[in-house]
Amino acid sequence: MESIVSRLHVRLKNLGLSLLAWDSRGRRLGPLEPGSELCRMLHEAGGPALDVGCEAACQALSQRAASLAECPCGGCVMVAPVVRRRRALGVVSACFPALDSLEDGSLERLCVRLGLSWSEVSDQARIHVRHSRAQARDLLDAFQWILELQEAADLARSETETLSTNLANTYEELSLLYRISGSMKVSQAPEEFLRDVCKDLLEVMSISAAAAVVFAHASTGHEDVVVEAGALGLDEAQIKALAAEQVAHKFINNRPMVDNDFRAPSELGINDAVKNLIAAPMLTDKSLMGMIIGFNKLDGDFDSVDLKLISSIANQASVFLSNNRLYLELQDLLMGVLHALTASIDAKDPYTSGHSSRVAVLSKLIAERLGYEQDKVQQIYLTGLLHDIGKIGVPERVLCKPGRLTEEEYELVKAHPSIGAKILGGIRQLDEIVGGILTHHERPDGKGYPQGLAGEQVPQEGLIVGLADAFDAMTSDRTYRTALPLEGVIGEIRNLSGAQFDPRVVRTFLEMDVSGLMEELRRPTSELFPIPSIAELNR
Amino acid sequence: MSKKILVADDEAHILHVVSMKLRNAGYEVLTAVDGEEAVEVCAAELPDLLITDYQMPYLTGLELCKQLRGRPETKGIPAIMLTARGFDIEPGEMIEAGIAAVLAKPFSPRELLEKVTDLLNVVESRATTG
Repeated sequence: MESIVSRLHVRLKNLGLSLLAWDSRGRRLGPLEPGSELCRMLHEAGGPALDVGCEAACQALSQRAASLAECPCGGCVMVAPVVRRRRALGVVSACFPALDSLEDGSLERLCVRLGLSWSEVSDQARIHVRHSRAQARDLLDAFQWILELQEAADLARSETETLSTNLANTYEELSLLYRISGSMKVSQAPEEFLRDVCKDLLEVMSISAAAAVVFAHASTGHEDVVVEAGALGLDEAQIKALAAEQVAHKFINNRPMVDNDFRAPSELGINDAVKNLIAAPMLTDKSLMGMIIGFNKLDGDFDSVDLKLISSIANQASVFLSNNRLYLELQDLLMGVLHALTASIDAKDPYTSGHSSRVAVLSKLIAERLGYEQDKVQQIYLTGLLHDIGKIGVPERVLCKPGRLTEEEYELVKAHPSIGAKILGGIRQLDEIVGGILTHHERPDGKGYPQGLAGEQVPQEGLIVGLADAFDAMTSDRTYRTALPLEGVIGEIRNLSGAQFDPRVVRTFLEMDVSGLMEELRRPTSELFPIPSIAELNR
Repeated sequence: MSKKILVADDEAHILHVVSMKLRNAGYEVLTAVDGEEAVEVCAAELPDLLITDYQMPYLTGLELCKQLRGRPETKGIPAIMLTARGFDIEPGEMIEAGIAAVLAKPFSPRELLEKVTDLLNVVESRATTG
């Protein structure tokens, strides 16, 4: 109301009108001042009160209608209510001395009655008297119109401010979501992704700390994941306990929750570390995967804008985690199938049971020691696992023959690398390992098979798996002989370095604790070779 | 004395959001709805910073910046450019046009304010160290 009045005041003064205002309870706003010098002179001499329109104003307020009233000085008083959205904000009055009172002498008579000097008053009158009573109606119309326009402009301005604020908040949310979704990669470890999310949340929500908790699941290696950003002063176990015991059950209908006055139970041991918190659940359609939590808002309480923001973020994170889990489960499935496949081939000959798994593990260890990247190590693991898959094309009577093989039978066995390569050659995703499978019986001295490659021509994967394969064969009982003693095997490998085996691979292998390895590999429990999950292979 | 910032964009909602954010932070904000108006206002008011959209009628934001670079009185005014996502400006062109930073829409108003503050501080410290 005050802002309307102050803006009108000057404009109306220029029109020769003087303004008074009251609020919706009838209390006057602003100082009571004479509208003009003329007005002041009359009033001080005992003439009309300065707020002559007061009564009319009260009526106008209650009736919500503008009206005209008369001033004892002969002038006119216009009163009009100020309304916003059908609520009365107050009432305004504008008055002016009328020309008529000058012309018909009534003003002069008033002055004489009040004992004022007519010459002084008439000087003032000539300056301040501009309108006649006949114009009052028109002026009242204009007056009302000005009020309405002013009011509409005010309303529009305040609505625009509100809209702008909301828009700005929406922009913040949008740009954050763009950033998060832009950094999502299906194969990214959850910890990394969630750490970025927590950091973003910290900035955008003005909080002192943020945390993400993912409850144990096969994809996380069966452990809870707790990620934190900012300064909270709690350890992982405390955050986990807080999440599981104090927050999880407060998600009503899976909606996010706010606690602006958090009191921790004493057994948590966190004292005053958490003043207020906001949390949103991360859900699959079946269950609660975990949650995102914001702690200690820097300026005040968490509000509905924060709720919306954390909700959006948690939704994004849920999508990521679900996809991540699916991806890991598919990878696990693949590994499981491959293990089952190779085990079934090994099972054709009781002596070779477990051989493929052992060669796979050995090859992986050698590759790691040689310093290969994780991706390459995994490839070599798979190459080791699948190296004998071609044996499915070799007749059982030949594979399991206890005595020496004939030339013809030997040729059949020698076909297994090519058969293996052919079997797998159709699977695009296994392109990288076909080379190793084809060449695991090649030799640096060129006397290998099937192609008789020599030296540099033999790819590393083939050389590594070749050594692992030979080592395991020599140290295992076979249909045609018993296992050779370890010392002898090591000696044999050394002798054949450069001929059957690559010198660098041999050197690296012999640096390893070979006898310790032997014991490990030979442990007759199925626990020795649990199918490693991708999560574990990546550690 | 508060710093003057000119915001040029043909979309009213962007003008509103940015003006409001900057005014609340204590800056004096001038606005323009197209490239030509922006050039006029810059020349007349010499703001301390320009924030401009790329896509505008009559003159793109890039052309606007280049024009300002060409005039002695306006060539020192740093600029922040707002662009559509996925739209890139050559680094060479950016330097030539005096564009100190680019923000993709939808941008974070908070981040914009941070960039504004940083830029104006840099300009000020450069001015005082000569």
